[in-house]
Amino acid sequence: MLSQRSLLIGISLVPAAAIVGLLLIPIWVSVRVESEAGVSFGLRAYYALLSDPFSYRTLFNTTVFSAVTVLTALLFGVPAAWIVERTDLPHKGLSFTLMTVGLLIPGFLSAMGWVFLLHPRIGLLSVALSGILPESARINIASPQGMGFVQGLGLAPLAFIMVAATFRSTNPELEEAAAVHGIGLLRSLVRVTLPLVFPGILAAGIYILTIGLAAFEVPAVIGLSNRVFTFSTFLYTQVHPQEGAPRYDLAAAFGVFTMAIAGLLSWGYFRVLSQGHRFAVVTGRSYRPKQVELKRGGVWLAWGFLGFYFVLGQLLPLLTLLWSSLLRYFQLPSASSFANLSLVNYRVLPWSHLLDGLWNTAVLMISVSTLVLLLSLAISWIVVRSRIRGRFLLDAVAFLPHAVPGIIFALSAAYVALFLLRDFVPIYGTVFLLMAVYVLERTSFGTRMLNNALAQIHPELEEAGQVMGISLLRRLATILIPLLLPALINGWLWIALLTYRELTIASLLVTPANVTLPMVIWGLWQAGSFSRAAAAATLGLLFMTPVIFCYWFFGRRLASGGWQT
Amino acid sequence: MIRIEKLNKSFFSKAGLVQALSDIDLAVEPGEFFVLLGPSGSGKTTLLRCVAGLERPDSGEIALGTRIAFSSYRHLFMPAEERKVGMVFQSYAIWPHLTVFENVALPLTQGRGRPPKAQVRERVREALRLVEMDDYVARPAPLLSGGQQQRVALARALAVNPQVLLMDEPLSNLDARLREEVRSKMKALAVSLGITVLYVTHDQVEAMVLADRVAVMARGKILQVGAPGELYRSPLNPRVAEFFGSMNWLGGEASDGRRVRTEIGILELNPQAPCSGRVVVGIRPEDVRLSPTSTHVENELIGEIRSATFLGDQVIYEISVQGKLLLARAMSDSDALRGKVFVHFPRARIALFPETASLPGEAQS
Ligand SMILES: Nc1ncnc2c1ncn2[C@@H]1O[C@H](COP(=O)(O)OP(=O)(O)OP(=O)(O)O)[C@@H](O)[C@H]1O
Ligand SMILES: [Mg+2]
Repeated sequence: MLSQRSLLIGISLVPAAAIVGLLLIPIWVSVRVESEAGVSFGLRAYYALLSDPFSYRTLFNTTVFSAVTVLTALLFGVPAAWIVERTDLPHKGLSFTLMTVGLLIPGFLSAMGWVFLLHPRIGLLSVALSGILPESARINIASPQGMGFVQGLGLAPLAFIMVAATFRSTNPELEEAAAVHGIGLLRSLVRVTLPLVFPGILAAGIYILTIGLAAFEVPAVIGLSNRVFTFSTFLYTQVHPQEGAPRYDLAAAFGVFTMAIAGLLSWGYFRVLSQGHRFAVVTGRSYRPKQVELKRGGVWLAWGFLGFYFVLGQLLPLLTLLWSSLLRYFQLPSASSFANLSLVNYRVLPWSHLLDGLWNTAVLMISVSTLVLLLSLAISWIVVRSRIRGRFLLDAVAFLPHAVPGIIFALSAAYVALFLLRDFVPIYGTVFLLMAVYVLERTSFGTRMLNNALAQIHPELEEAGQVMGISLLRRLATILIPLLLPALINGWLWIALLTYRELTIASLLVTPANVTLPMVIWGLWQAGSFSRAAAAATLGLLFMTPVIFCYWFFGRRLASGGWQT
Repeated sequence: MIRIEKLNKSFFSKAGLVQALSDIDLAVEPGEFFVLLGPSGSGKTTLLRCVAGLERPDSGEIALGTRIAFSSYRHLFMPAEERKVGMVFQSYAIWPHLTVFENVALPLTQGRGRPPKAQVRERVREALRLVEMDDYVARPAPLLSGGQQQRVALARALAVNPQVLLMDEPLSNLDARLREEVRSKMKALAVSLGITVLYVTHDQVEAMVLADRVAVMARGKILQVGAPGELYRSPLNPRVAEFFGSMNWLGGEASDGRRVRTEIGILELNPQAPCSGRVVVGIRPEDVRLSPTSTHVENELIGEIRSATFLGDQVIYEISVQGKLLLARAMSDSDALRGKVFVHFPRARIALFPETASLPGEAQS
C-alpha cells in the first residue's frame, strides 16, 4: 500500500536528514564569526588554527599515533590471520577466540590497565624494570607512540578478521603452483602469498587508520592527563577547556579538516577494495585452502604468538586493573601487597552516581539497540527491496557515520542542543540527546548488517505475501522480521555492547544529569582517583559479562546458522 | 479474464536499457489455461509479474476481469495486494519459518479478507486436500521435498480463491518423472476448478500438454498465439516452428506460389502458399517419409542414409539429399533402412517463410 511505503520512507528520512544536518553543522560553525557587531562569516577559526603551533603538534601526534596504531594492529593481526587460515594448527575455534574476544572489551579499560603497567612513575612494569633497563630504554606510555601501541593492540582483532577474510578468499592453487614448481615455503610466502593478499592488508590498514585517526578512548585515558593531545582529545579540550570559554569554532574547524581526511581515507578504502577484486580469484566452486603443515616447533611457535597477543592485548591490562582495584595505593605483587588487598576502593565508590550511570546505560542499551534496528530495517528495506529513486543516496548517507569520527557528531549535537534547540526542545543534559546521537552513529552498522541479511532472503518470499494481499507492514511483521530474527538478535546484542562501552560521544554530551557508566569510570580517572576508577572499571566489566556471554554464545551462533533461503 | 494492451516495460541495468516487453497484446478467456512459452530472457516472467502487480509497466493497459489493474492512459496502478490473484513462484517461496498449515493460512489471516478462524481452517484443509497434502499440515516447511513444496505453493495460491492463477515455471525445480506426474494432475485440477491460469514455461512439451492456448514469446514480443496444434502445424514464423519440435531448413526461391526451387530440387507446394521470392522452406523430421522403393508420388527425391539413431520406439535417420544433410524420424517397427532411399516430402507439410524472417539459429543469442 502506498501509504505504508510512504511511512517507511518517512521513517528513514528522519535519521538521514539528521545525519546530513549534523555533518553540515561543523562547517557552518567553523566559518561563523561572532563579535559585538553581530554575526558574520569568515575563515577566522582556520587562521587561528593554522597560526597556532599547538595545532601542528596535535597533528604530528595524531599522525604518529595513527601510524603506530596501524603498524601494531597489522603486526599482530596479519601473522595471526595467516596462522589461523593457512596452517593446520588445531583448535581453530580457540585460536579465533583468543584473537577476537578483545573486540568486546572496552578500549578505555585496557588503556587504564596499561597506565598501571607502564606509567613512568607508578607503572608496574616500569618499576619492575627500572633496575634492569637504562632510563633511556624505558617505554613511556604517555607518548603518541605508547598510546598508538595500546590502541593498536585493541584494533588487532579487527585487522585479524579483515585479513583472515582475504586469506580465505584467495585461490590456494596459485600457491600450490609455486610449490609444484619448486619454490620453497618462505619464498612462496613473500613472492606469491603476500602480493595476493596485499590489497586486503592495505584495505585493513586504511580502515584501521581511519579509526585510529578518530580514536578517543585511549588518548583520553592516557594522553589527556599528560597533556599529549591527538585529534579527538584536542577537540574535546576545545569544548571543555580547563580555563576560558569553549571554542566551538576552533573545534569545528579542526573537525572539518579531519572529516576531509577521513572522507579521503574512506574513498581510498573503497578504491583498494574494488581494485583488490582483480586478485580475488575465488572460482565459485568451494575449495579448502591448502594448509601449511606445522611441525612440532611450529605449533609451539604459533600458539606462543597467539597466546602472547592474548596476554599482552587483553589479559595483562585487565588483570592489572583488577589488581589495582584491590589496593589502596599501587604496589607490585609481593607477599606484603597480597596482605594489603582489600575491597576498600569498592566501598568508597560514589555509589549513587555509579548506579545512576548504570541505570542510564541500561536504558540506552535497550532503547538504542531497538531503535537502530527499527530505523535500519526501514532504510535497508528501501535500499534493498524498493525501486525508489535515490535509494542509493539514502544508503550512502546511512553509511556516513561510519566514516566520520564520532566525536564530530557529538560536537555537532552538543552545539545544536545547546545553541539551536535550547529554547524549543530542552534536550541537552538528558538521556534522549545521548540516545539520538548513539542511534545515528550506529545506524551505519545496522544498515550494513541488515542490507546483507535482507539480500540473502529471496525476494519472492516477500512477493508471495504481497500478491496474496498481505500489506507491507504485515509482511514485515509476519514474514521478514521472523526470517531476519537471527540477524536481528545478533545485531541487537552487538549494538548493546557498543552502547555499553561508548565513551567518545558521551564525553561531550554527558552532564551530571545524564551520566553513563563509562563516564563515571572516566570521571574518577580524570579526577586522579586511579584506584577507585579501577574498582569501578572492574565492576563495569562484571556487569557486562552477561551481555558478552549472550553475544558470544547466542549471537554469533545465530548469525551463522540463520535460515538458508 | 486477462486483457493486456500495448504493454511496454524496460529495465535500466548496467548493460543499458533492456526492452523486456514491447507492445504486448493478449487476451485470456475465463477458465482458459494459457501458457507463455519462450526462450530464456524473452520476457515471460516480466509479463507475469506485470499482471501480478510486482512490476510497474512503462505504458499500456492491463485488465483483470472488469477491473483495470494498470493503465498508463488513466494513470492507474492497482497495487499487487489488491489484485486478488494467486501466484506460484519459480522458487515456490514457501515461508521457511512456518508449517505447511501456517503457510497456507497466512494470506487468509493477514491478507485482505481475514475470514473467521473456523473458516480459515476449513479453507486451508480444503486447499491442502486438493493438492493431496492434507496429511502434512503440521510439517515445518524446511522439511518438505521439492514436489511437496510445489504443492503447498499451489494450495496457498488456491486458498485465497483467486479468479486468476499465475504460475512461473512451477515445475522447473522438479525432476523429470515427478514433473510429468504433477503436470497431468495440475491440468486436471485447473479444469475441475474452472480457474483462469496464466502459466510461464520454456518447455514446449509442458506447453503442449497443459495449454488451451499458447503465446510464443521472443525478445519481449509475442510471435504467435494459438492452440498447441495450430502452432505445431502452421507456425507463422521459423522461430515458432523451431520452438515446437525440430525442423529441416532449406533455402529456396518460390516462383509462382505453386512450387519452390530449393537446394535439393524443386518441390510442389499447396496452392495457398503465402509468399514468393527468396524463401525459407521447413519440414519436420517426422513429416519426411522414407521408403526403399519409389512410391511414384510428387516431391520424391533420392537420398542416401548416413546414420541411424535408435531411440526405442523411433529411429532418427540422417540422410544426404543432393549433398544436403536432412533428418527424418520414423517408427522403429518398420524394417531398418540402409543405403539408397526414396525421400518423400508431403506438400501439405511443407512450411514456407519469407527469407526476411530470420532462422531460429540466428535469431537466438
Ligand atoms: N529487475 C530487472 N532489472 C534489469 N533487467 C531485468 C530485470 N528483470 C528482467 N530483466 C531483463 O528483462 C529481460 C526479460 O527477463 P525475464 O525474466 O522476463 O525473462 P524470462 O523469459 O522469464 O526468462 P527465463 O526463462 O530465463 O526466466 C531479460 O533480458 C532480463 O535480463
Ligand atoms: Mg523467468
